[in-house]
Amino acid sequence: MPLEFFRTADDRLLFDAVSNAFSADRQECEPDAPDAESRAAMTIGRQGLIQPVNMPGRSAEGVSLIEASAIVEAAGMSQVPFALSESLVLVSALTAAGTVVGDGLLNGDEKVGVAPFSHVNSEVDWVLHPGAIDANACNGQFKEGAAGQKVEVDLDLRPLLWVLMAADILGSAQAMFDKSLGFMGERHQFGQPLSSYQALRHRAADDWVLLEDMRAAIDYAAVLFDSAAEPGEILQAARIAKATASHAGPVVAENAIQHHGAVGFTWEFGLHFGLKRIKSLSLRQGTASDHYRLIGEQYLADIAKTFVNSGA
Amino acid sequence: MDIRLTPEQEAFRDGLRIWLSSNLEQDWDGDRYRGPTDDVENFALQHAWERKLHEGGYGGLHWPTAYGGRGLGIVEYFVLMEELGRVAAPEGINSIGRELVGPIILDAGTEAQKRRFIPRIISADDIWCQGFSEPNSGSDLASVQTFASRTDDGWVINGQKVWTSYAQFSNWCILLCRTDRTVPKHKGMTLFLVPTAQDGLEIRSLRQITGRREFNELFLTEMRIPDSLRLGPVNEGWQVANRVLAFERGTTRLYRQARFAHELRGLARLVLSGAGNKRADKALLFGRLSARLGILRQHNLRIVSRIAAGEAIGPEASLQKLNWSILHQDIMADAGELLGDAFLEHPAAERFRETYLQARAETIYAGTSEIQRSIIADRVLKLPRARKEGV
Repeated sequence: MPLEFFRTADDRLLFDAVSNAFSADRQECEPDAPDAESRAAMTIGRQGLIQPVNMPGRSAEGVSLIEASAIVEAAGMSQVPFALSESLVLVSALTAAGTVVGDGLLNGDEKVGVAPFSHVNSEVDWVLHPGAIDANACNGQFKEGAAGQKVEVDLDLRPLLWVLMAADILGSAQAMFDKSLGFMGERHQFGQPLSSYQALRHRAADDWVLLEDMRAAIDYAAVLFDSAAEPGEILQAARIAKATASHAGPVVAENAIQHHGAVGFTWEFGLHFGLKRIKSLSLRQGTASDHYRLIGEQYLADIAKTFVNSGA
Repeated sequence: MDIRLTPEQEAFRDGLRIWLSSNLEQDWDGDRYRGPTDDVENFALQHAWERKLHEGGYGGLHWPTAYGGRGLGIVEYFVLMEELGRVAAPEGINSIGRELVGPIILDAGTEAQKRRFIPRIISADDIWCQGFSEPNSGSDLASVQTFASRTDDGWVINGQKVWTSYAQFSNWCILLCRTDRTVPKHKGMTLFLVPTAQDGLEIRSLRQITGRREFNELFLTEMRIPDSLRLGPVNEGWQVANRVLAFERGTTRLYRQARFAHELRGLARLVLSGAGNKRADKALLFGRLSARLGILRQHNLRIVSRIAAGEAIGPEASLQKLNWSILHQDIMADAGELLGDAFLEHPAAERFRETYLQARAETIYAGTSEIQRSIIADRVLKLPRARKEGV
């Protein structure tokens, strides 16, 4: 197998197919429609998009994390008003634990929230407890059903959740970025398209770099997970993906609003849906600086070890 | 996706690690990693290292065997770059020969030029410099005015070049000249290969903000060269150079990521030894820098695997130039935050003081950050330009 760190033709095919499925149902899924969430769930259910992600070292027939992150990225891009990451993580955990997964979870009828959330219990059918973000080792993880049943799984679900949340941020930010590129080409001021002004061209270039940084970090963490790399290495790579997306996602989203000028600030234009989605994903499960600090603590601890070993 | 090396590639890497541990000076991994401050001594050290690499079989790794190369792939080359960077091996003096001139000659040179020049680049017998920028042509490189006019048996060149690194130690120079003033600027340039010992070429070194004298001015007065030293077709110098530059931007600095990681480890050791600024937010600063270094490596992996799969690397390589040059400056800025007074005073912080200054050049040379952003806006994002030029 040669070095292959890019999306293959098959990966792109999957992403395009999922994107098309979401955008075909886009009218049904307008984020502020009252029953948008259940319609989105139906779409996802029809497409069979909620599947277990293959856990390293566990036998299961599901999708790879690379594939799952492409699905979630496409969901973010289409602003599907549905917590797909959480559902995928829960289904994966239950499957890995050998628990029978009900239809309600697979077709999206049952909603999943992640603790801690003060109001989460009243709005969702399942609560996922992935464990503290700053724990060093994998602890026993558990979830509980609405009926009160508890399922404990001896699996570290955090890398899975962080990578998928980062993929959602990436897709959402990419959609906002694409919108602002289109707008910059159409909108004229001072007799020129906005896209002709260097201040805006250069900011767009920087935003594109941030999107590619997120993509690289997500793909890398996902490929480590899929190839069952050492757990500490996977955890650190997933932290980098979440930290990068938590930092870069809001920057790209906020710049997209700036590039649209006053129209971007209107409710009707709808950029706020993406902004709010990205902002909440970026703060939940550890902010950018939470993760950067934990990455740094690990980094310094590793260096300190070599320090002692070399006697310096 | 797969990021694992093949068993053969792993064996290559293991052999290289053994070779490095027995060929690099034992105490290299310390303050001396930038090389001696005396420019002549530094040249001797860098040149000797490049010859040693060649003797060890690591020269011209991914170049054709017909011209003295090893004929290996881009992944082996990436492994070599990463291992050299990991131990902060000397960067060598002939990067222009290895990373710019060699690839252009292999792409556009005549058979005679390939046979004459490529083996001597691999063996470090020839040291090359690059005569592209001029006093009035920096970012607007296509406006070069140094003129080559035809004679019966060749060309006569007049003009001035600047920012020509290591010209004083080089015996050859790749020169970008205007050869037709009547056509649009991108269509009237030609590349030449000129010996620096030639009459009509004067070299004057310039002192940089680091105190070193690495770059130079070149004055060309009625310099005569034969037509056999023209590289590529007449008036297509810009196209020839750009075809290679796009590829090169992605691959020339592959060792940098590993070298920066080496620097960051050195900084961490210094901070952990107690030299640091007590109030600095160590975990946050080291976490952010090491995360960004990780992403830099991932972009390298992406570029290398795309080349290995036969894909062309185009303007998206500007992303890497932007990222590594800015990250390096940020590492040195954070070195100041982490060390405080020690950044200015501690003997072991000398490498960071010098690198802080040296890193200023990195967002300027090989296309400024602003030029890279413009390349991305033009050719990746394809953002419509103004109706009038130059906005």
